[in-house]
Amino acid sequence: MPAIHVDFDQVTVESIAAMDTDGAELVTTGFVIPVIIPLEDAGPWLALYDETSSTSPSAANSRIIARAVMAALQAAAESD
Amino acid sequence: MPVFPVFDPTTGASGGASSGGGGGGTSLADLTPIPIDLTDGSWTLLDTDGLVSSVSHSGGFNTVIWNTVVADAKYNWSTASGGQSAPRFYKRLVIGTTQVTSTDTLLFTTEMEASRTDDFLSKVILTVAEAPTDTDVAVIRATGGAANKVSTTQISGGTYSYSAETVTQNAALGKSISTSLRGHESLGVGCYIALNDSVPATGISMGSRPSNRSSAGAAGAGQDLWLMVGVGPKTSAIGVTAGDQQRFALSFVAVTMGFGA
Repeated sequence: MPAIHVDFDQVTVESIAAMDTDGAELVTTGFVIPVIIPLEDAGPWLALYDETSSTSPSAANSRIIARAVMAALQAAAESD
Repeated sequence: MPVFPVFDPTTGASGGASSGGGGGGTSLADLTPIPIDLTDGSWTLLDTDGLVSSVSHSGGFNTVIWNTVVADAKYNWSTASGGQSAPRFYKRLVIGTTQVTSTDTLLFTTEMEASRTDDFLSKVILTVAEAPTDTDVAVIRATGGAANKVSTTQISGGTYSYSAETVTQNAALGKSISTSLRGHESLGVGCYIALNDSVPATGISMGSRPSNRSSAGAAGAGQDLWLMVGVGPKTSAIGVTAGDQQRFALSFVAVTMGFGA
């Protein structure tokens, strides 16, 4: 399974006015969580993802990403 | 520790040789920020859609009185969509008699304060730009500080890079300090400290925003740099009623260094 990490020391709460991945305007205040995907794992992660399929990535693969983010969010929220 | 004189922050004049023990020349300690008065005659206003009614300056604050603005992404400095037609004040970035260019290693530090009393949710950016008269952010290439009115109780302040901002909003926020490092055709990175409104102010938050633009822009390398103050609504969904007021206090220090030569 490819790896994914969070640089937890760099988690911040900030107000962002920028652009989302799809080009939509993004204006919000929230936790900024730096998610790190090692370069050697980018290809393996993308191989698990089909953007045309609403069931991709699989629940098992999604859970790995989600838990990395959720663990950081929970820890940051509890220390905020 | 010896004091190394570099330049007079007001005139830009050379400070001469190292004093060796303090005194003589101008040191880098406690540089005096240059306050911005948009009415001092040195600034040119570009307002292609006629959105600015008048500008005044008093008590350190610039006040912009607006004409009617229909909400549109092109008047929002923090988006790249729709081109950029928001009003902006600009002048050449000259230190002493030297025109700063995109090849120079530049530290651009700002102090900004928006106003909770603005009549609409507003945004002001204080930046260094390559082409302040353009409508394409890829040509404008601005980096610096940003400040907003968020609500009647909150303002925000932070850093601006290219077409987006990262700021802190807080009811206790006073001024915010940002520094943008750019040079060698890279737009570099900005960072900031948000200060509370006590005296002396203390930091309440921080952040940073890389530009993610490391090479020359569409206009090419070796561009002259300009100071640019952009004003407008906080988001693309906000319009302005004729007669509405926007206030802000701005100051800056710009320093170039001979790194990377």
